[in-house]
Amino acid sequence: MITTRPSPSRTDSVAGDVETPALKTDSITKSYGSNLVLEELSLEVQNGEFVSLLGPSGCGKTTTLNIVSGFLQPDSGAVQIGGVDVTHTPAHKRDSAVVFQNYALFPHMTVEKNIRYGLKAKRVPREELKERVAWALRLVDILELKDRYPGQLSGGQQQRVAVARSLVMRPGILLMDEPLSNLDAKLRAELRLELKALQQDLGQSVLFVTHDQVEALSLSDRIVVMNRGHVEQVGTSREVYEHPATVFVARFMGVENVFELTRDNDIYQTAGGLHFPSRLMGPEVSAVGIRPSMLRTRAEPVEGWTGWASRGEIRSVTYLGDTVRYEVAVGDETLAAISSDTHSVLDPGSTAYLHASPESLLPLAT
Amino acid sequence: MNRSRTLTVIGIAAFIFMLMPVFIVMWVSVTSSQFIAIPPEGYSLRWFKSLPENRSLMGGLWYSTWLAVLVSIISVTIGAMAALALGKRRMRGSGAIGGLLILPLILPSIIVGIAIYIAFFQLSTTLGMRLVPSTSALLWGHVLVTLPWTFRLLHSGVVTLGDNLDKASRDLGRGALYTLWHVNLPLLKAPILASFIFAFIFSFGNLEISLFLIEPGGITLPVAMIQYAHLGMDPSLAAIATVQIVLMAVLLWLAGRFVNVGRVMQRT
Repeated sequence: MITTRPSPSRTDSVAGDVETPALKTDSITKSYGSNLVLEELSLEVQNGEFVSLLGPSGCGKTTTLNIVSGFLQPDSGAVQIGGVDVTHTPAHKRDSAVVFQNYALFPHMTVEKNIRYGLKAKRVPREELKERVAWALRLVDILELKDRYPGQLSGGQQQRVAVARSLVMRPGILLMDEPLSNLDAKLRAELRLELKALQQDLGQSVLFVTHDQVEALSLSDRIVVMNRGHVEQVGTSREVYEHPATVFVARFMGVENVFELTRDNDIYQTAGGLHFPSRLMGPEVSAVGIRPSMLRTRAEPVEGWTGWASRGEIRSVTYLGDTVRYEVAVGDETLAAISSDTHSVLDPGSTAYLHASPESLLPLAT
Repeated sequence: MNRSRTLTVIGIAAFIFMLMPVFIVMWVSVTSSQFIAIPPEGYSLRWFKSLPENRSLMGGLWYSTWLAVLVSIISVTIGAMAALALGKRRMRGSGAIGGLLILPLILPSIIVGIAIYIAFFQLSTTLGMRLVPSTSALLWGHVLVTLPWTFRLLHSGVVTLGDNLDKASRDLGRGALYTLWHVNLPLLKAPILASFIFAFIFSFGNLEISLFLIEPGGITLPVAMIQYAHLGMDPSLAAIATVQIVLMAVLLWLAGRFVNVGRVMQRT
């Protein structure tokens, strides 16, 4: 549960100039030896915006976070926080705060002292310091835990302390490094909701690093999908999910059926013998993606169907409760299809007709 | 008898065999006679009561105590600096430097003693001033042989601590010195205290280095005991040995409250 109260003091408020982004990286590059980790990465987080860096491990998202927070120096490029160039500013002088994956709470200090730690460095006046600590404790609902030590807290409670310790600084940009990954699924879902509500109430600008697409989709105003040190796509959750730009983004977003295409007059075809008429696809398409849930699997062809259709053979059937999952062989290709019709389930080995509407054929760049 | 029973019996036998001399010394120290004899003819605490008047042994005891305290402070300080420098992040040559710091451990102390003596002696002739024997040479010799212990204890403490909290502290606006003082040192309290105790024990018990470097008027207890024994054995030696045994036992017990002593010794 969240109790949100107005911040007692907004003298060093996060809400700056509307035009100045809270965070801006300008083509930052970083390599270790011959290993290029980040290649000319540029991104922006607007004031009050929640942006996720999404990608598999090793894609450079954590390196980006470390460069923004000041723990790493980029080889080239610039970092701005609140319009100020901080590329060469040491970590302790930047207007950013990190919520670490392992929380990094000081084990020899009580919860309250952990939260005060950074404020004392800022020489906040005593009265204001007290107020802000109390505000942060209430904000994440841990007032009654203030005299405990981190070792006496559960993972979820430690997570709250870590968030409070960062938020009490009223940072220009809050950086979060997979902060929910050490929690169990149920707690993760709960804290996700809380975090989003908290961020919106405070208007806090956030850069959130995660490899979990559900987390990114549910939390973010915009998602930056990263792969091998570069940006694959930037967009709102809906844009990235419904219109993935590349094969990589499509696969990462759960589009299981992805095929590279070659064009032969009016027909695009795959190596394994799938055919897509060009009237459904657009002029210059190098790959196509279809979500399993967008494929309709029938024993008979649907009459008058104007979209894509193909005949195949059911290879396997998996009952999943709400849905049934089919693996369907068409030529040398296999497609995954998920059907919500759990009553008339087709048998393995039987003939099946796959149907997809023109909108569900996602054109992808390779 | 089954296997584990046999092992237990062998274990106890070995234990008794190892501790026998220690028990015998303690036993002899409470004799009432003028001579060392087993079993004692009668029992009394007269040798303990007369110890404070024994100027050579008491002088050695105090001198060794002060020396060991100084050695421990210096050794822990250097060891902590090295451990923090080498344990926080991997850098080029950190393995080699770490190895170098442990080196005195595998050299027999007597060699270290001779080496320091010869080196300081050569330096003395070059500089035209007497560097050995001297208390400062003795001090550095002891620091050298205790450093492997303090460094290793502190290094493993630093490695366990990692650099996560340093990052958090920097991120929250604190510089390196504040972080060292308020985060690292408080969290390294246990290995710091333990390494202090270990340095004290090894300095206090060291004979080989001291033999080469002591100056007249500054005799450590082990050397004082050897000199005393040359004049003739009497139960005073057993009494002072008993005092040492008890002191070491208490210190080891104390160290055991901070770190796993067995594990520290094992890594030799």
